[in-house]
Amino acid sequence: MGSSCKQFRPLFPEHSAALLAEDSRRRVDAHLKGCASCRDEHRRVHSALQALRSAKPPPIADTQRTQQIQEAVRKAQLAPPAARFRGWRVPVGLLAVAAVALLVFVRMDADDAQPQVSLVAGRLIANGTPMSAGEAIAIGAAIEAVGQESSRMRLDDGSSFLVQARSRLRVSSAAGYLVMLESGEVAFEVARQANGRTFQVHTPEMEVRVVGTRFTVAHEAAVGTRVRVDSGIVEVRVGDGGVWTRLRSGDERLSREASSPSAGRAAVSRDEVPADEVREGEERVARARDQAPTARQIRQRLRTGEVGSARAMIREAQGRRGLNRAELAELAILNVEADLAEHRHAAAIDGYLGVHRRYSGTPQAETALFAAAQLALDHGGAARGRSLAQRYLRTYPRGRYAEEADALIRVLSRNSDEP
Amino acid sequence: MKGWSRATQISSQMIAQAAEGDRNAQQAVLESQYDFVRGMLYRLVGSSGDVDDLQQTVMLKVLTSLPRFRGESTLSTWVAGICVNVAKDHFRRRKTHAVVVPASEGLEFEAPVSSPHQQAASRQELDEALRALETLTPPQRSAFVLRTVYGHSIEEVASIMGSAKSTTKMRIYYGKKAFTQALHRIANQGVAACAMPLEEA
Repeated sequence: MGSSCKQFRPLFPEHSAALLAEDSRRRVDAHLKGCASCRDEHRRVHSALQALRSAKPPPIADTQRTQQIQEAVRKAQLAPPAARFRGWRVPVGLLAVAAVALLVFVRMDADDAQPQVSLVAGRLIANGTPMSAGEAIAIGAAIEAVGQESSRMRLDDGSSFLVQARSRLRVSSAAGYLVMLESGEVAFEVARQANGRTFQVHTPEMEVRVVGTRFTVAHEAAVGTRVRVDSGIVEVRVGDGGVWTRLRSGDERLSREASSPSAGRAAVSRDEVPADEVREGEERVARARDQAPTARQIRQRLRTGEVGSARAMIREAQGRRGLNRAELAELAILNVEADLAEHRHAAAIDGYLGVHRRYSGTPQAETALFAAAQLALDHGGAARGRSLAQRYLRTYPRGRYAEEADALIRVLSRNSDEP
Repeated sequence: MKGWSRATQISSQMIAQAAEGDRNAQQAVLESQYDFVRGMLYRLVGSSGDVDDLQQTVMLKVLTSLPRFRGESTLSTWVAGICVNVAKDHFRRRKTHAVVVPASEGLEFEAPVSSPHQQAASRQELDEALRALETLTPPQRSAFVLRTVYGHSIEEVASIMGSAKSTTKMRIYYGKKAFTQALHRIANQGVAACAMPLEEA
């Protein structure tokens, strides 16, 4: 096999599927004309892919098929809406801060599938209709707090929940109540549950279950989910396959801390947290909410090529007082994205590494390091990409991108010849 | 391609009704995707006995996630993303990506082959293709199958898999490379195996 054969053979699957660009297709065709061994290889690949395309699974009886479909429909009627699709794993594009807050108190009743509302204070809508006292909440209905103020509702067992403005959640009921917090912050006060009943709160990243307590759940797309227990005990886990961890009064847990090397320290006693940091946590959601449109606006400018204007907005935002480290890191990342918009790839790699260095401990720092590795792979060479991916794995062995970084290193190590 | 490779079309009104919890519409949506999901799962995880369970998981996820389907892609492209995630979870649970059950066992062909000889040849080709697929890592396998079997663009594959475009390109590239190398190796092993009795004789 000649060196050119080695170069052409990986193209055979796409050539066979007629997916190659015209220019590449012509080059492959020309090579095939003069290389008998590659013609054999191409024929083999073509036949294999043809077999794969036309293969179909063993037939299934119509009755079994219908049963399977009906079973899925039946389960879907009982199940809560699934967790959000993990598109946020894409590193750079999904750092926009989306902070909304809500506070919920729910009661569970073993025989009653629909929770009854005994009090509504403020402006809450369920599936677009204003909620009022004495009504039942339709299972799975989208509940939203509209207006500028938080709203409170109480259930007929005395449990209640406070919903911050622009928050969104759904309530389902199967073996107990399940609140799906899509965005926002929730402080729950839950009445003691009947035996065998559970009360759970799910966010796209975390699950919380409780027997009877008072606690707060906040979810921001950029920083993840935070659970703080005010009284009683809750159990939390990250993702649907994680290990349940018990949190007691005063404990706090962050979803993304839990997947980092500091997992052992994730459950933090409130006593260990300085008072001003606790206060800062309380204010963070509100500030992030104010800043979210700015980050979105900056990205919109970048998308339309108005880089100068975007940079001016970043500088203006950086001049604000009282920004926390995560918010500053977000602005620094926006600056890097401005470099990318100007095709300054080397500067962008350095920029990401700077964010990682300066804002270590924030979710943005982790994403920045992985983004630097990916960018280096595309624009700085395989060696640098591999080295940065290795650095990512050393720093975040259980990080959000560990699997991808590991795969990247393995393929690069196995195939020293780059595409 | 059709049937096992392409889902039946379904109206956006029916999808909206299914998203709102209409049982008949939900059933119609699952009917339209059933063969497509089954075919994709077989290609992603092989013909192990787990496919029935995985199919059930995918169908349930399709229905519970349908309220978030915004129609930015076709329904089958969106469903393909769910299949890929379910296959990924499956491999993660099993801690392996090797398919234990003989790969082409039970599989049939969409276009009927004309003679038993052709059928045997096609089955052997399919068997070799599935064995070659086993040498790919799960992300490479998903990316490779979506690109070369289903003909998705690189952008679509990236979107379905929820990965960056550069990562997707890498996966497809190394998937293609591993696949062609494995196919070459398997074919040579086959030749050697056939040649051996003759040499002994």
